[in-house]
Amino acid sequence: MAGTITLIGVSKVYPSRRPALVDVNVHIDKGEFVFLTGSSGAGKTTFMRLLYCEERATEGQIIVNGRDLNRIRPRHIPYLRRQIGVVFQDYRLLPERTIWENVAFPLVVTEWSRREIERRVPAVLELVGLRDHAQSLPRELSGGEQQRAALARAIALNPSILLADEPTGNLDPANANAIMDLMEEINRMGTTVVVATHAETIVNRMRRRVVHLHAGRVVSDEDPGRYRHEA
Amino acid sequence: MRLRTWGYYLREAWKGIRVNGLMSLASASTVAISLLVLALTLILAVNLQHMTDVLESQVQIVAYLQPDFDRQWKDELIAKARAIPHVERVAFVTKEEGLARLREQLGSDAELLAAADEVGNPLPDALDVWVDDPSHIPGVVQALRSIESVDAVDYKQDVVQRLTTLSDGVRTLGLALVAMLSAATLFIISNTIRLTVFARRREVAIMKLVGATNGFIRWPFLLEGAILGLAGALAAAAAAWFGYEWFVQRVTQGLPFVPIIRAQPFLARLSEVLLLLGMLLGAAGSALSLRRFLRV
Ligand SMILES: Nc1ncnc2c1ncn2[C@@H]1O[C@H](COP(=O)(O)OP(=O)(O)OP(=O)(O)O)[C@@H](O)[C@H]1O
Ligand SMILES: [Mg+2]
Repeated sequence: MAGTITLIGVSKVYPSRRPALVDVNVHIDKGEFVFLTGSSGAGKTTFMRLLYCEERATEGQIIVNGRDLNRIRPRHIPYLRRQIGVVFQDYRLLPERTIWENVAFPLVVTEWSRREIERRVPAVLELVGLRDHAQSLPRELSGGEQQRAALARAIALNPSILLADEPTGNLDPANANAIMDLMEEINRMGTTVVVATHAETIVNRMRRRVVHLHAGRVVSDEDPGRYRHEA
Repeated sequence: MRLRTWGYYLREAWKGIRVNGLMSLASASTVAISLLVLALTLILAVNLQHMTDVLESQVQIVAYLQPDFDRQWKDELIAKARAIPHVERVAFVTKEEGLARLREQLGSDAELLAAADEVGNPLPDALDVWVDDPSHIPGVVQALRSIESVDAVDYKQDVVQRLTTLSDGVRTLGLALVAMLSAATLFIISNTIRLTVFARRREVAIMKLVGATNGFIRWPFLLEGAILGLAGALAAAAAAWFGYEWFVQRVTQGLPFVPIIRAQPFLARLSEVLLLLGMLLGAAGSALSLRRFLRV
């Protein structure tokens, strides 16, 4: 159950808009690596927001980690979110806190002990290659480094699902590739990874499953490595 | 809940108070003013009640005897009066004593009694009667009237009645004032906390997204409100404490016969109430703003 995502007939309509998602059916298994592609406004961010309950589906059923999100109690949402790491398109690092504090933030607010935190944070910073920047503030880092910091925070709680929204948006190809390599490494450790992007070169290079959205609909769902998935 | 988590809450709350600076001071001050008014009301009400009690215990009934009363029955009459339930004390007042007392009361208007000197003392002999509790006065009056040598019965409740009305008035007015001030206090505290929430909205949003529970998010803000309330309450309690101690000292020296409540343990209890209320007001004001600004 942990690490699986299922959407059945999901639609999302924001008030007074055309639908952002229309009848989306997607199943993602534990340990998969999936790209979510589509032009701007296709519905990629909306897709992700539904998974960690920042938005509710207008129609259809979403099951994440075995939980039916239509029926989840508000007080259980925090516990669901601890299982889902999110890298936001705009990083959303806390500007007044050091990189160490930013990465430790999810651990602090979920009441890890100081000892656990002091063991976990260096390990995660090491993984993303930011050990020397632990005491820097976000604005003292390059875009690529901030992206790594955001990634470090997303995986700090060791989630079963990692959602990354345009993680390479503002990066040069070398940095973008480095970030994607990190994602693969995290995926190899068993985490389900979903990456929203419109960077075609990366998608083509990685030869992974691609769910393509157009105007809120899934228009293709292909996995070059395996058999074609049901749409 | 772990101790470390409380440490975190307190640090965050303190941060909020410092960041809000002037607003925090204003909040604590309104709490102080509201609670000081409450303290004054309580001090006044409690003392008026005390005075009423004391005066009530002094209320006496005067039973005027038949003009032809024969003093040889005096002891028997006193015994009869004493036998009435709830009568605490009975004193026989001769008509001469009665006249002397009247003279004293009238003071410079005593010439009004010049006629009495010519015509003779118009007063009858009388009994002064003390009752254990004022609520029993009507019953005792009734019983006195049925004694045959008693002509008329007079009792004074005016002062007590007036004091009771006054203390009711103080209580109503004071509580209305306190209610108004409390509402104002809630308002300003909730606004102060709202500033903190607003200053931290980015942090709060991220806390939610990484899985902090609502309780965890709320506590620092609730504590911030409670601390502001407690600070204001401390100021109010200190002012009430020293003010009343000074007042009691002045009164006991200058007007020793005026019955007032002693400083202790009254002030200790009052301070407890004020501190508790201050904290509750602060936390409630904060909860008020969180209800609207911390939706999941
Ligand atoms: N909070 C919102 N309120 C109203 N409409 C919204 C909201 N968020 C998104 N939309 C609309 O829903 C549609 C899908 O938006 P979404 O953000 O999911 O697209 P996207 O694929 O992530 O785009 P991009 O690549 O530019 O990030 C768009 O038409 C957008 O205007
Ligand atoms: Mg988007």
